[in-house]
Amino acid sequence: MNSVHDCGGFDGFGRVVPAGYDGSEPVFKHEWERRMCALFMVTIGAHYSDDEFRQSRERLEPVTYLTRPYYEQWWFAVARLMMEKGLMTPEEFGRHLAAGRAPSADILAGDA
Amino acid sequence: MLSAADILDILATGATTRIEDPARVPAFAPGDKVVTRTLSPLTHTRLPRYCRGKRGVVVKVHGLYALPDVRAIGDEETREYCYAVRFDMRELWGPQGAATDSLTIDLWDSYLLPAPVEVTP
Amino acid sequence: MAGQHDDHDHDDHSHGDHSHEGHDHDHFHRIHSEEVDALLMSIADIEISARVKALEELLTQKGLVDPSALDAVVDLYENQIGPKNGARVIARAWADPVYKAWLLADPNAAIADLGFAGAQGENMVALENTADVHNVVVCTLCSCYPWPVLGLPPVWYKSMPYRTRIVRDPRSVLAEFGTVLPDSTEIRVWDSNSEVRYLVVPRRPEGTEGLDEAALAALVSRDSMIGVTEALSPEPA
Repeated sequence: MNSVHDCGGFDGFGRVVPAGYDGSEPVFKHEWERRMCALFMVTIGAHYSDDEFRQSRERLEPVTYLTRPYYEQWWFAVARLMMEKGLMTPEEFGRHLAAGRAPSADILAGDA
Repeated sequence: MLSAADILDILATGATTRIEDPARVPAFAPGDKVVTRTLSPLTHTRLPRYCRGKRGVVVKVHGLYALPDVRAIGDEETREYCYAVRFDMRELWGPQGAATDSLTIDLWDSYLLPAPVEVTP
Repeated sequence: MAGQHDDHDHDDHSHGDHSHEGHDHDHFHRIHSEEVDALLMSIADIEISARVKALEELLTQKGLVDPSALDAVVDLYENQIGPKNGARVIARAWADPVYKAWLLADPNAAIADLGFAGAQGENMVALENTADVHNVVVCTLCSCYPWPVLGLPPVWYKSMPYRTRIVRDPRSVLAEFGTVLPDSTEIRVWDSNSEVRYLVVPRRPEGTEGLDEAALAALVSRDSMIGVTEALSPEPA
């Protein structure tokens, strides 16, 4: 696939080494990164191959690929595969996500 | 569903698509000159644009592995030889490449053609 | 998918056939779902922590994943597997020429001898840096990396600046890491792939003759095993 993931030789992306870099960094910076990385590890092999996973990530829209954090790209890739392979439906996931967020939405509405 | 013990076992063991098949002889050997194909599949490939249609040299035969292009669309069976192929930076980037330096990348049979014999006039 | 590649003769190395031809449009449309696209787009701006949580919960409810397996994986890659593994391999190679020769010739066996093996490191290649040749590793297409010896990759390794620049102008990238090589040094960039993973064996620093393996391992930084830096120098006594 000819998309932005195939980036070798592109110009304009700037510096590699972050400011203040000392050669180390935490493995995960946020709890959601831990859970996403682990979700990938426990579903790959059982439900999709690594090549299918890479393809799913590459199919992100270029703007999304370039602007979302690495493990968020994994979220898109895994969520897409689970839906395209029929393990969950888009409708079902959308409903589950909305239900999980409903209490805070109610509180916000009540505060208004 | 994989249990914690299952998944730790899988991660500790790993999984490779590599197979041994003495009946299949690699098409290329170290030192062979090759040219990469120009391909633009709509699906996954491990042949990046920067090294399509370029001249390189095989430096290592890695063995028989799944072809990622077809494995990404569900074909778990196909195996091809994978080779480390080296390109001069000048071949990839023209005069902006460093003459001292090279790039080596792992490429499969489907990406490679034997280099045409160069005829000196 | 079976039967799609019947025209691909496995024994034919005549280079005349190619598995892409004619089929990739069909394949792309078969896997592509507009409903999935629409859902993903509609929720793309909901905070990622909520989207990850919902995915874990729904897959758990469906019996597809076991939350305790997730906890075990996090512990493995956060606390157990990391560049300290690779540093032990390099320290042994520096201390023992026979081991080093084994590592370069049969890296899987030599690395497994120290107890390291597993996912994303099944097929290893060790690259020796010398005074004349400097090796550096990237994965331009995704983030392939030798997990059993180095753990999960650092952010910069997965970043667009590194992936775009190292294959074209490695000297400027190395300089950013403080690694300035003589113009005569041959830089070999390795764009690693899904199957084969690379470990750089950095040069042993000067002044380390009397050090034991544990002290040597402390000088082997993660970045030196990717090839963007040299190994650390010992503190003056």
